[in-house]
Amino acid sequence: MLSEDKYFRDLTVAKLWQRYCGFLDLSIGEFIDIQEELLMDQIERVADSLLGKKIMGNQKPESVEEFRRIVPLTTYDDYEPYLSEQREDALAVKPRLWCHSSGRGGYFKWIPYGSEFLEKVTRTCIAALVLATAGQKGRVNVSPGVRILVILPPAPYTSGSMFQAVAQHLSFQAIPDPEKTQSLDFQERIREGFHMALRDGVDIIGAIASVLVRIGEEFSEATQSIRFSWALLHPRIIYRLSQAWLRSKREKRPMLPKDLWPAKAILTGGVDTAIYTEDVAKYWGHSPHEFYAATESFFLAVQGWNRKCLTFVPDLVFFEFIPYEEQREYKDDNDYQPATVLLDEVEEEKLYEVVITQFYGMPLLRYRMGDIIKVTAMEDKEAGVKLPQIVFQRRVGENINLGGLAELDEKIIWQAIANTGIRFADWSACKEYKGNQTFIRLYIELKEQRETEEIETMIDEQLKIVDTDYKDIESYLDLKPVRVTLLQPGTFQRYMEEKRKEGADLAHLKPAHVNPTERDIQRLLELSRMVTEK
Amino acid sequence: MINPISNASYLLPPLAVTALCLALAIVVWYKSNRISSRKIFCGVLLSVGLWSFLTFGMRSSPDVNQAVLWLRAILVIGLAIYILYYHFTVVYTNAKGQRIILVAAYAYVILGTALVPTNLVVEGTRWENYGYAPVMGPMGIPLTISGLLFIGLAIRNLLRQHHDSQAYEERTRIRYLIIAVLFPLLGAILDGFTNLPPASIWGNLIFCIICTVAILKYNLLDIRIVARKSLAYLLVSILIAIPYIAILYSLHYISEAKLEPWWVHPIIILLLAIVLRPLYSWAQHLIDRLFYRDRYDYLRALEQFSREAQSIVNLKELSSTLTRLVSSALRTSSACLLLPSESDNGFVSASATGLGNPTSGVALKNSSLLIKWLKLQQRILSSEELNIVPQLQSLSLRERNNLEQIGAKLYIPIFTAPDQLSGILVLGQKLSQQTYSSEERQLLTALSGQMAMALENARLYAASQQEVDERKRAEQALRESEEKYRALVENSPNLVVVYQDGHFTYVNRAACNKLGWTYEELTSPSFDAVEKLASEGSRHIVRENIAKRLRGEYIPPYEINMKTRVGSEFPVLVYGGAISYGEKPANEYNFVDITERKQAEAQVRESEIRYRLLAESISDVIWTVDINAPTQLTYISPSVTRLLGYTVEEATSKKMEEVFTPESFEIAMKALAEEMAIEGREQAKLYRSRILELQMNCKDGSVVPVEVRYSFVRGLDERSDQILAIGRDITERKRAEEELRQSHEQLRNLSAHIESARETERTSIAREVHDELGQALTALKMELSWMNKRLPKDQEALIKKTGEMSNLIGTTIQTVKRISTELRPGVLDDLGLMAAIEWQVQEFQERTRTKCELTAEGEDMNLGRDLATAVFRILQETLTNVARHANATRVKVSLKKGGGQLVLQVRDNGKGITKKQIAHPKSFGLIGMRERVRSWKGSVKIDGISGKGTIVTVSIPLNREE
Repeated sequence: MLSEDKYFRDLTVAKLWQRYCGFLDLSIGEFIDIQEELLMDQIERVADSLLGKKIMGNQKPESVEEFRRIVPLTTYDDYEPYLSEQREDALAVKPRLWCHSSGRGGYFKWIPYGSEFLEKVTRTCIAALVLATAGQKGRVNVSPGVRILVILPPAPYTSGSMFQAVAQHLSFQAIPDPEKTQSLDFQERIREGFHMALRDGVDIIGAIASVLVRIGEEFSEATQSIRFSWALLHPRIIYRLSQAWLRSKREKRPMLPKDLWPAKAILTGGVDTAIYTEDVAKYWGHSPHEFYAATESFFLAVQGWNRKCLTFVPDLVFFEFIPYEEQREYKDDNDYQPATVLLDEVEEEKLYEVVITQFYGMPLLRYRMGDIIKVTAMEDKEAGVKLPQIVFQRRVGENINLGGLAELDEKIIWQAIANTGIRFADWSACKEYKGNQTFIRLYIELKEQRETEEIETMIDEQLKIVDTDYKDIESYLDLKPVRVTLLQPGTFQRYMEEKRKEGADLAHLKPAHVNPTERDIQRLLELSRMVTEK
Repeated sequence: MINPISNASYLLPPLAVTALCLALAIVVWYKSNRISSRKIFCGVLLSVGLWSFLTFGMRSSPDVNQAVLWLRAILVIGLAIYILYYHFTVVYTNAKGQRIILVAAYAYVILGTALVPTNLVVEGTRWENYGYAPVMGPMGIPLTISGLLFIGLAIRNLLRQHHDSQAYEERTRIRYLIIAVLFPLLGAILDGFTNLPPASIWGNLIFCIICTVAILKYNLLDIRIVARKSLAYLLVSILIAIPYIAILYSLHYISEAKLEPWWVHPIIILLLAIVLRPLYSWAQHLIDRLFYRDRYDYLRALEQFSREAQSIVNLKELSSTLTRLVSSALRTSSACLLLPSESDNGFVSASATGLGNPTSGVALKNSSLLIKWLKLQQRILSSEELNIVPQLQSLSLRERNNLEQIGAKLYIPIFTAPDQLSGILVLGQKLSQQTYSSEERQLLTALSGQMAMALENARLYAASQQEVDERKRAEQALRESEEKYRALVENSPNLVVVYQDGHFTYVNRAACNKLGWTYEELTSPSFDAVEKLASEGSRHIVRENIAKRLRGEYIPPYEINMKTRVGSEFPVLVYGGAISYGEKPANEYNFVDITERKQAEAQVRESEIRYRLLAESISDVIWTVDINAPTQLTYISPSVTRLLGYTVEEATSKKMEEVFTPESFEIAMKALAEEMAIEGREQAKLYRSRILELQMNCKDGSVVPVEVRYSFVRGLDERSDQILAIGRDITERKRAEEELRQSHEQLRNLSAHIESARETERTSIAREVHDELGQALTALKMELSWMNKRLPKDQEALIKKTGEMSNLIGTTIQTVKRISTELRPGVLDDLGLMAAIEWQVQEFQERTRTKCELTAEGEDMNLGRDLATAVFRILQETLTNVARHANATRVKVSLKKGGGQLVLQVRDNGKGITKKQIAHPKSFGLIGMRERVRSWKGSVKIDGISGKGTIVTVSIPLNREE
């Protein structure tokens, strides 16, 4: 019997909740106590390792304050070439597996994971599943054997590796079976997954919010004319189809994914979750449950059962935060060591860059994640959480500064576009200068016929609503800072196909939403022209 | 026969059971918390309620024909109860793979429902003396037995869960559920196979109550406790019943009298209960012994311990007794008592039982999350909770290992005050491999209170014992101190005497030896000490001071001359003080022979004269100032006249601000303030000095540069009250420095000129080599090719040779190109700096296989030929250094133009240049870089961080260029 299955067998519901979600009941003092205890343990473990010595020198901090004072802030370059060469002799603990990121910054980041850390990650993963399905405090609607539909890249990508690691501690049914669908491409795996879910049912669906919405839209259009297929002639599929048909007829609407795959919860991660919350709920029956994850530690924060804000997990990494003002002021000075604050020192409505120190002998010390988070509240009374509540804001550098008056990031721009109600395929935005004036240039591919000026006006109006700073630009500068370039339908699709042919990695199939490279923009424009000429 | 229909005891029970089941169903539904199993059990309760109501219907039927209809309905519901109970156990135990059986079970109910209306199951009803009884059909018994099979399956589910579960409460709950189901089974068997009055109704009622309590109550009573208590009371009842019956029998036998009235009986029973009260304790003990066998004895031993513990005052003995007894009483594999460490930084193992090598050192730190949790929660903690409570899940690896080493399963905190954790009793696994029951935990909680008291007593005793020891030690130290003092005085080279009642009462050995008198003579009351020991000139001083001392005045140390028995005199310094001697007031005098000091003082005086002569004869000017008035000279050497033209008197009368120029005075005062601040610190160096270059005003109005060395003049006590300054004329040195600077400047200009000329030469050579030599070689190669084609085909040797020559020329052309490019990359002249840097970076990357990134910011990089060449050469030099020394894997080059500056930065992730390497006089590359940048009024900053890399930043102002 797997280790976590035993807990589900032996513990009462109350104790299960406490084991997995009890950290949400901690006071800030207790949270800091846990962090300090594990940090001192971590220092003890890594002090004699090669990488530990490289970062900390021959010093062994005796307290948290000393650690923060004498250990410099680090980036991935500080651990090179040990991590990219997977040098286990440089680590404090022997890793059980090595994972790499999706290579967003242009190159892979390899991170080793020890057994102890993976156990804690598994527990947090189960916590996320429990919270996603709970609906109220203290309810545990997950049990071993839970059916999870997740489309993930395979190991050694972090997400794929983690899914495998979780499977070694908790028995669950992965849909589609990763082993059987390993050779299929992403789209085929999605198709196979939903087919399997149609036959066997599904409890939890994990995917990117915008992908779920797109599937929902396409599904509701396609169900107007369902094509017969022999694969549908399975008794269980027939049963599920009839149930879904009856349900949609009863509610006098077209059939939606939630009728066919009535899951207990939808798990998502990424900046688009907040933007598509309502659409996901409309198509899939539940608003999405979000978590904040990264290659460096997988889970950093999870949402409470009420699916509002994120709460940091106390026992995976030690958290420090660089106040955004300081981060922005010295962003070009690589030698400057900005001061950090701990979770009990953060302030409401302020932005911070996240700095982590991994626990359990893992190598990253005072590591700058490059993520900007926003503290939205100091507690969540509804969920009974007494810890600061946060949202993920953006990656460092993924923002467009308009003349120092407003800062637009991926979330804000995406939200504004979504709020216009225009049907679009994809978009990309960057900063543009004309004389001494700054603009935001939006390259967008629409799924409907609209005029450029109309789109500019709509997005401008929505940006004024979404971002209060943006609202003032027009009055100060007497200009409308949005410039739109409409791309021909199919441009992004062609771009992705081109990239796929080049053998690009999953994360590089699409251009970045904010500040794409000049080359990417040129290519998009060329492809758009080619589509027009055709 | 009594008509049962009119009998209330026959009719009312089913109604009462119906009402009770409905009430229980409501309670369970209300407490169900949306738990599926509870909802199903609610269905069971409602079914039993319905079944009871139907029973009431049957019993109240006027005839057998009507009764049989009710009976058939009863049977259908009865089947439903079996299946619902089975369904309940499937959901409750989360039993896997029973879906098909469940479907079959409900199919069975449907089948039963279909069969019941026929005569196959029930043929009819008959009258019995208690009421209606069923007349079963041929299918009646098989249908009932097959229903019982599902109950069997339900019991099997529960037994499996009981086996798998580790939680004590859960296991107890399941035991109740299993026992409960036996009652309706018994009732059904009795009703089905005997002619006894109906028992099912009571069986069902008991079943409902037990199950409801089992499901809803969290901490159920241990069944063994229930049985134990019941047996104890039964035994007591028997004990009371025997004399009671004996009394009745005796009365009846003796006088055939009956006890009247009726209330006499309860009074007798009550009296017997009171009289036989001690028997109850005995019965309880008897039963306890029966149930707990040897553990009972240990429990008794524990009780004994709680009495005896108060008398054990030795902490170690107490700890060891405690762990041993608890371990034996609860039959645990190990027990360990953690007590606060002596340094009070955590808890250490004070005693242990059943552990091979208990952990040494601090097992749990005070800051441990476990300690914090125990202090906050103040309750027993089980090791399972370490995996449940969030704080405890995060215990450090070291502490987890420590706890594992002591085999911890249960932690019992011991509090001596509500917030004072005085110890932790850690118990290991029970020998029976069972978990600790609630009763055992209660026992341990109670015991922890007693332990706390015992430990506190022992600790207080230890503290008082320590206090006594310390006092003894202090007394001993005092004695030793006195002895040491006496020895010190006795062996002192000084003359020590005690003067009391007008004569010496004590003199030390040195006094006797030095003065030449015996101890007895000196301490004789008739010995006139002043007359015989003070020199003639000192006697009046001594007498005056004695008189003053008698008046209670303070006498500072003073000098006199003493004389010996033979009349020789010697100077002494006299210290005196009032003491208690022989518990009477006295004066102690200490005479220090200062003959040698006097001689030394004379030598110092001579030396001072010599030094003064020396100071006055050297060319440097020496002066001193008072530390408290640093602007006022206290001494200045005559050489001042030579330097400034002032006489000594003139110079002494001047203030320092007049002697120095205003700037120099300010510098000197600032330095003085800093030095005074350093002087205030404990770790200040005593003989430090500070050198300043200052300017002094001459009498003729000119200014002379001087180098002044300041230092503090210290006395024997190392305190300073004077500042000594030595000023040296550095006019010549300054002139030499200026000449040197001019020479450097010329050299630098020359170097720049040479560099420029070299660059021009390089460009010229590169062009010549490329254009002339390269073209000539190309032409030669073409000629050769022409010749090769025209050679007769039979001249193979010639053809081969010309081919080889052609290849050689080709190689030479490549070499010429390379030399030309290395001398001066054409791209720099043709396409400008940016293109040249891009080329250089690319070339570096290919040549060294080191990843090199280039970023450029700013407008155009059109800088002019000379500056572009300088920047390019600096980059070349830097990259050469990276390739040679840095051992880097990544290099970032950035070039920024803006804000009137050009900034070139080269950053690598290599081993990092050291300060020594930066400053090394033979780092010609770096020197060359600095020189190039200096000629453009720019700066070079080189930072190396060990293990992280080197950053070279070159900044050149652009205004000159623009």
